Amino acid sequence: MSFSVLDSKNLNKFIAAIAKQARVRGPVADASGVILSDITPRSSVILTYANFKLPFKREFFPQCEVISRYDGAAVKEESSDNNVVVYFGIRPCDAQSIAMLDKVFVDDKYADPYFQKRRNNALIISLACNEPAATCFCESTGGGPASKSGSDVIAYSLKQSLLFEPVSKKGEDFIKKNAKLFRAPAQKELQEREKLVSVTSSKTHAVKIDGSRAALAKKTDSSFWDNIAETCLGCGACTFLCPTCHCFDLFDEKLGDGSARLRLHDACMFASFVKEASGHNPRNKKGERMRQRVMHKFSYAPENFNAVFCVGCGRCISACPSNIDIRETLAGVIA
Amino acid sequence: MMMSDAEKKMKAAAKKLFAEGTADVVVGFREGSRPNSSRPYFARNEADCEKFVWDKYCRANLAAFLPALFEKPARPKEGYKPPRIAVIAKGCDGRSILGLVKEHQVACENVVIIAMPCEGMVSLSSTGKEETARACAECVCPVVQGADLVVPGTAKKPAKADYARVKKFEAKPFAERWKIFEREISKCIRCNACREACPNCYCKVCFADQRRPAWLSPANGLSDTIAYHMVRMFHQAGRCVECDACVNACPMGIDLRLFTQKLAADALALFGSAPGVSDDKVPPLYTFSQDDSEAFITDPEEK
Amino acid sequence: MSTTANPYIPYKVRIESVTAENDDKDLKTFRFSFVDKADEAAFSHQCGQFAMLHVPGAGEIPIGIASSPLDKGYVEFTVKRYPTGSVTTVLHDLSEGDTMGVRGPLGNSFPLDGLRGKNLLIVGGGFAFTTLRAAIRYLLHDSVRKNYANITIIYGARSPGELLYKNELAEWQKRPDVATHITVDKGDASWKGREGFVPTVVSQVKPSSENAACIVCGPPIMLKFTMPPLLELGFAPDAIITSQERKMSCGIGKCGRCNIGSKYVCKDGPVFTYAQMMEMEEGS
Repeated sequence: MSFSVLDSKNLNKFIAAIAKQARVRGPVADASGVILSDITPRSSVILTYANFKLPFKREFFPQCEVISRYDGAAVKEESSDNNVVVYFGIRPCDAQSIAMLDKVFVDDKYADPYFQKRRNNALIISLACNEPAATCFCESTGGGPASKSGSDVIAYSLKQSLLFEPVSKKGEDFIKKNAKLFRAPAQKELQEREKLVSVTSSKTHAVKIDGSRAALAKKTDSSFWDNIAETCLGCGACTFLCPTCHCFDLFDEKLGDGSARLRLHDACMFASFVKEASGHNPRNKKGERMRQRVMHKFSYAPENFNAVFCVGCGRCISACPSNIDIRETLAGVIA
Repeated sequence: MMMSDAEKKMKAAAKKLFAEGTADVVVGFREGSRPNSSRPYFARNEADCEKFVWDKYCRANLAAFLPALFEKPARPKEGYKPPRIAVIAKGCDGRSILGLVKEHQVACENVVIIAMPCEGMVSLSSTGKEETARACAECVCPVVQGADLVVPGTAKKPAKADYARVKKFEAKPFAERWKIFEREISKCIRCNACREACPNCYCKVCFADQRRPAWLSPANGLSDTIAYHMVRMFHQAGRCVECDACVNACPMGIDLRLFTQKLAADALALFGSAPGVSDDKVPPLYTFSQDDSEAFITDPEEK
Repeated sequence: MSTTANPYIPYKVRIESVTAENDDKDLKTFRFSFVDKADEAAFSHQCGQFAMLHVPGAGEIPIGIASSPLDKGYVEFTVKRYPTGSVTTVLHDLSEGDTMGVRGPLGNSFPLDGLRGKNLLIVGGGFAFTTLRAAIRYLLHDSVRKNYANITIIYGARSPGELLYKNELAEWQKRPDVATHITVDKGDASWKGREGFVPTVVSQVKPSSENAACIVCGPPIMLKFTMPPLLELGFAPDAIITSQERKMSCGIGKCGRCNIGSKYVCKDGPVFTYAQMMEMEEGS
């Protein structure tokens, strides 16, 4: 794969040029930190951030979306805009999460038209990490600070320039189309990139994932899970911030003479997630719900999709008010 | 280290409860797995007590675990007795527990409050620096009164309940206040962490989750989200101990404190009520008396 | 259902009739016709499948299809009304002429094609009998009956009033090409038939497991007590076919709600063999 270089001082020019072709979204400074937002001429693009608080999945699978409307006569599919969006500066863990969600929403007997449309209209330029956070363990989940999974193009932030590497055909076409914005890399830039990749890959926290699926199959004693979930508040923060969690609810809401059908993010950690109209709740205990979450990510998804549904981003570890730590849970399972 | 003496005495007190057989669970803190964070921990025997820590990262409100621990099972076994739970309590934890006792969620005789000499916890500023948590800087009750066991030590001095930040906010024109409120609430992703972390939110079915009737939509439209927060906070009026458990749990960093404090300030001004500090027998909004203040009835049209 | 169409959009249907099945009138059979005739061909279901019934403004519920694929011009569902249910309460107030939505067919089906030439034992309890009724209507159809050997039906309800499809039960009992055994947990003054729980009746009827398969549907407790007599009669676990239920939202294996272990009841099920059930995780 060939590399194309953008001098850091030309970043804004690059973004302005891309903005003529498509909507550009990326990491911008905000009062609360760095968020994923539209990059406008007035935005301050930050490339040294750890990660967004909110997961990238929200761009393709929003928290709340109208999927159909009923006008009193018929139910009609709700159409979303057809805008092409170039995402620039997405972390590899977040990009990888989209490749996983593809397996649920796209590569499936029933393709989800809403997710699929946004997916097809998106070009993802990810940005390799120079400084993983203390809670990052992406290498252990089959990713890494320079993982290409889910990206169309991956960029590397060097001292004075950005190196772009196409990953998919779509990414190749993008680089070709915008060739005049780039230049060829200098030898020392290529070396700088290699060094960067090898240094950062040693910085992430190592978590033993291998063997977790087999170990989980044997971990049937409920006392283990009751113990892990003891201090769980059932708050849902972990699920809502997780890049690969995709549980949702469908919900009718009356609107005037008709109604709208909404899709909302939901969480298996909520007590009433599987509670039936009869009152029966198959996962009545917190430990059972905790087990379901861990099994889904580390056993069922591998069985159904050949992929662990965790990208090691560490958001759940940071967000949990009780500091329940998936790394410790897995260590306890494998132990 | 700053708190190691109190930590030693705390562990000894906890172990003694197990040795004497007077507690089934002791709820406290142990070392966290992420930087600068201690986390809730349930000890069930003397050996477990070794894991307890007492430091400046013990921020969670442990009273939040009590309603669930005391919930009677759907099919209680023969001779079921409620558990005996001890809580290593900061001032805020203790105030919350006293509130739960008042509201019959926790049986007084089944809970032991181990009052710690709290010197205040820390939080991270927006630049990542450690600073005294706002709730602690403004805390009027670092050590809960009326505890069963007191671990001796120097606590921080109680602050005065002047609610300066609330007053500053109130002085702004309505339009600006609403703008600030909307800006904060629009960050909400309706994850419900604030509710689950709050010791006072123990309803079996939260009003926000009811569907028949549906008081508000589970979708995250601004109007419904505002309704959720407003109603939840008003349910706290006269009960909130300003511990910031909701603020700490919120993954989006919403400044809930500005609004919960407004209600706490009003409860103090209108009813002389500070839960767990003043000696009301019941929360002020549980009763009505003829001479209750009616100053809250205002005409929004009036300038 | 076409997999290229939007799997979240229902077909529009018209209620042709509503029949109360029991004395309490909280079990009703709804007969729908497709407003657009082309949708009927697209719907083409198989026995054992379910569909989402959509009542606009109220929501969707997953209900087993109670009519046979050979019943032309309509599709039927039998729905129980739950007082706390936001959809069943509204649905039960609808009447002939009202329109609503049907999304499906969803899930897998009873493997009837692979059972040709075999003896079939069909065991049902309570209102889980609905998809079995679809299968029985199909199997007893003139063009189908000859493909199967002996057919035995054992169906029980709590009381005579709770029996579904009473007219059809009476017709089946008259037929020589199917052995129909109806039972109730507790009879009443006018009940002249059998009394006894379904598992007990299975042991009493003693259907042969020779070259046979069993399709059994019922509430969890009935399934639990029916398995031992079936196994004792010699039915192999992979020849015992059952149907599972869980709370559902999407019905197409995406929302993560209805799984038992790694299997989604809506997509990998709802039909599973007892052998598969034993491998799947309990209480997941």
